[in-house]
Amino acid sequence: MLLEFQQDFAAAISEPTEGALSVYRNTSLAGCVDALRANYPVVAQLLAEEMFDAVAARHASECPPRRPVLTLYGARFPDWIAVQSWLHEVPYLAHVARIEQLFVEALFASDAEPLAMTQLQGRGDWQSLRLALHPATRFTWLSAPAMSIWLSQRENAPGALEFEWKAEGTLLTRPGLEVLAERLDRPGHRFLFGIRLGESVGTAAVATASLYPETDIGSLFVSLVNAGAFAATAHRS
Amino acid sequence: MTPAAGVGFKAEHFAEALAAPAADLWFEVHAENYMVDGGPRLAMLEAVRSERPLSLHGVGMSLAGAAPPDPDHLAALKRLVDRFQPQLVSEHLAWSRLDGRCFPDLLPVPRTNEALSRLADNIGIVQDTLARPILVENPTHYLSLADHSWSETSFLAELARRTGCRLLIDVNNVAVGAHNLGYDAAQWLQAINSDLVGEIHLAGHTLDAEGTLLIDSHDQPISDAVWSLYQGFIDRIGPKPTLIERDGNIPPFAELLAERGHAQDILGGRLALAA
Repeated sequence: MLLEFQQDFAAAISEPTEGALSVYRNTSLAGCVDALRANYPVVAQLLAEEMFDAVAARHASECPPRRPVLTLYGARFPDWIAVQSWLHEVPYLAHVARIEQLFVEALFASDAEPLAMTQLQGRGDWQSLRLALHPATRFTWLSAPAMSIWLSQRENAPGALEFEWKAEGTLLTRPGLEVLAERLDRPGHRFLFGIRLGESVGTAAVATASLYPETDIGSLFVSLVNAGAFAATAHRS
Repeated sequence: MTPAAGVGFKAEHFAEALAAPAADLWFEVHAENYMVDGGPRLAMLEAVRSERPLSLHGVGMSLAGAAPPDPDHLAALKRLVDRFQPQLVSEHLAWSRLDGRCFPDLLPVPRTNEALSRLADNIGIVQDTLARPILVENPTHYLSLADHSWSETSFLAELARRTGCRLLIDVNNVAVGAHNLGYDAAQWLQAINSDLVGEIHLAGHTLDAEGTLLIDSHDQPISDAVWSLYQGFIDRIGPKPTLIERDGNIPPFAELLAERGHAQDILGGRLALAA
């Protein structure tokens, strides 16, 4: 009986409704839309308020929360946006959403000490040196200039977008309490991908150098360490 | 916790909240907002907790759900309780989860014997896991359900008797429900046994667009009617930890502190009940 009541009630507030029932429907929907707006601020800015509300409400009805922790709600939003043909006028939107999804993951990932260059002094055997990514490190390759768009929208008021249409990588790190965001190039992406796969620093460096001979692997490595991409512990030979 | 008044903690008030000189001030947060692995939000709560007592108020356990509590969610709550050692832990007499879907709301339940047993089992599971009693909050009402076989106050008392939980009485919920369903708020409060009350919530409400229903919106100052109900309630049951809740249209911290000061005056008997 209790289960039956709850199934009927859930069905009733899953459709537009009136009177007292609509209070429950509106509260529930508003909770989802507000959570998506908090987690996808640049997507919200790119779409403008009314449009974002409509997109978010539609997503919430098709992909409702599976956990009560709304801080982490919306992980399916980027993939969902990518298959909404009515949103294809904004071809970079799903890619920008992907960055924001990774940003939320980085922001709330476990805390850990980042690796510092000083901890590597005297560890000359790069071929056997293995590093773990810091738990907050997120990176990906996007087939759109989404990182340039995201960075410019984040810093500036909404305005005309000027960018060169090209693929870009994203690197997000959180060595302390603040998420650091930067563009990642192909060599950087290849190197980090190798580390994530479990390659040693030497193996990842050789593979990256042979694919991208112009790359200064030493500076690439130092910049990744300084960004906080690796964890201080769990490096083992 | 000495019966004092606290304030719902908001991140935008962080610096002022930490610097507030008010004696016995405490803070309450929604537990779900801190169910993450790490990062700045948990660090902020650590800083608050190092200065002030804390109360964890859950909104997502779905105690009145037809299923037992979600083990992952319960584990996340236990991690928070173990880490922050809150003075109070509370949840709602409501459901919000069904068939793997979560509703970010507190949905109503018919007060039947079946619901009573399910709630008592679920509260028992939570209390066993946390190894401490919890407080259970009376819901807001918008809708008249047909199938009640218990009055709300006797249902709450029976839940407390069966589980050893205590009650979080939200005076605004009583006022909103009384307006929406047409019962007497003061009479409702009169039926609550003082010994069962572990905490009181005070918040503001709004009238809906049609002008018929009061909405438990937590986005306005506490109304005069709610203050008056609160004063009468405290006058009868004695001082209890009382929270100023504000979740929308967040004012400067000083405004919340002023409301908190008013509650503190009532708790201290410094405002005599009008004869």
